[in-house]
Amino acid sequence: MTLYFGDIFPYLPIMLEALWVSIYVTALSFVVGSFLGLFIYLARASRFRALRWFGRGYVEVIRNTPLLVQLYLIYFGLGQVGINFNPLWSVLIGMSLNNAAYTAEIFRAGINAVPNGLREAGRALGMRYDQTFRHVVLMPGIRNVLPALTNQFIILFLFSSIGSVISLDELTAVLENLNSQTLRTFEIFTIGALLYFLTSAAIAYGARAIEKVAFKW
Amino acid sequence: MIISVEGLHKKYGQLEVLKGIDCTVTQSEVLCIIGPSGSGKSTFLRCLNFLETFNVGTVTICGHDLTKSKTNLNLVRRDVGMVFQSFNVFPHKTVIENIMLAPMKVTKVSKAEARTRGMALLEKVGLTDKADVYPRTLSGGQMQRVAIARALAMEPKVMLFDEPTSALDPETVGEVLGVMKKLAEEGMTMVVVTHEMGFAREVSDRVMFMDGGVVVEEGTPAELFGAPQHERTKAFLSKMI
Repeated sequence: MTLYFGDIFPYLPIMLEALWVSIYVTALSFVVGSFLGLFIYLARASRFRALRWFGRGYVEVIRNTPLLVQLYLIYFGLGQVGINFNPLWSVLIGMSLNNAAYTAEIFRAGINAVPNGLREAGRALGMRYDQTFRHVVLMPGIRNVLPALTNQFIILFLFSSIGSVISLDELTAVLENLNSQTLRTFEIFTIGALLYFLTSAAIAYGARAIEKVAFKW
Repeated sequence: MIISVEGLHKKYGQLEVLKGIDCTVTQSEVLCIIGPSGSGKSTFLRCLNFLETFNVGTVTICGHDLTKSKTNLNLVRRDVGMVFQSFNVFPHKTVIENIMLAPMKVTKVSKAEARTRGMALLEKVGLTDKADVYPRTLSGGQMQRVAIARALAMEPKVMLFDEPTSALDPETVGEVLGVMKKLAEEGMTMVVVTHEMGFAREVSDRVMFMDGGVVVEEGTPAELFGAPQHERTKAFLSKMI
């Protein structure tokens, strides 16, 4: 058996285009999901029992069901009751909701790790609870969570490949198509894997660079 | 009367850590609280600005009655500065930003005004050259002086010090005590929980010895250090000096 990587190169632009879809779907759901996650965390840390239960329940349900099943529910399940989303929207919604649960837990761990003395110092100066949170706790908390958030971003990026099962034209879906066209299975998926790997590595590298610039303290 | 405490009781579950404390502090008075670890002195101090809740008793501070549910704690705390054992300077803010934060957010002082006032406070604690550095580059003594300046920025009527030198290297203890002494001389009302007997003896107007959640004995430094009345006080002081 001989490998013909040369045969694959003409398809590289298509792959890169699909990679771009993977990246922006991930970035968009990460931003929206992390924002939601912050609110889920705040609900979990709330004074109100109902909110705490909601936050807790949300996190548990999402974390204990597969993303694939969540995606089927949104795309096919909701379709059955007359709520139709196209593949792109389904993936965006599914990944955002999924990411929210994980980032909520990341925020919780990071914020809880901020020394309580800082909170007390803020309150003792006469700042309200919300002011203390915003001006005193938040930044050290973000610094604590950044490595875990980077990790979560990469995991989400790799999980975006399941968009292929509902025919979103992201990288994996396009790889499958090219595979059935050319039957160069090994070559195509090797290059595909390499594209995923390089992108993930670039994200990790970029995050470390941001950390260095943003946290001079 | 700046501070007036009556019958203060505090329980952690079954454990009663404060068993009825009475205490008054007048304008410009410096009260030092001494006693062994676990005697409840820090807990008592933290009750004075309600960082710690209590079960029974009344605390009135700068005219605010802490037992009334209508009392706005944030207003109380504007009048009551606090300095902690672990400094608690904000790591993500420069020295001057640490000091400017509360005046800008709480009393809505303009940025320029807050900076001017902050620089004056830094001069007072001898750290003008550190205004724009981040706290991680500072020594413990320097951090604690920043924390003192930060508390003073709210122009409090009372300053509470919770073992301010206990986490410091012996060499830097002096610079913090020096700042506190200057503050006392300027007429600041101060309550200081401390293990620094030299400071208590020299600077305070009154010393309170606590043990097992009660005030065992109090008096002027001369009375308490010179002629302690209770066996427990004598035993404690003989170990300290």
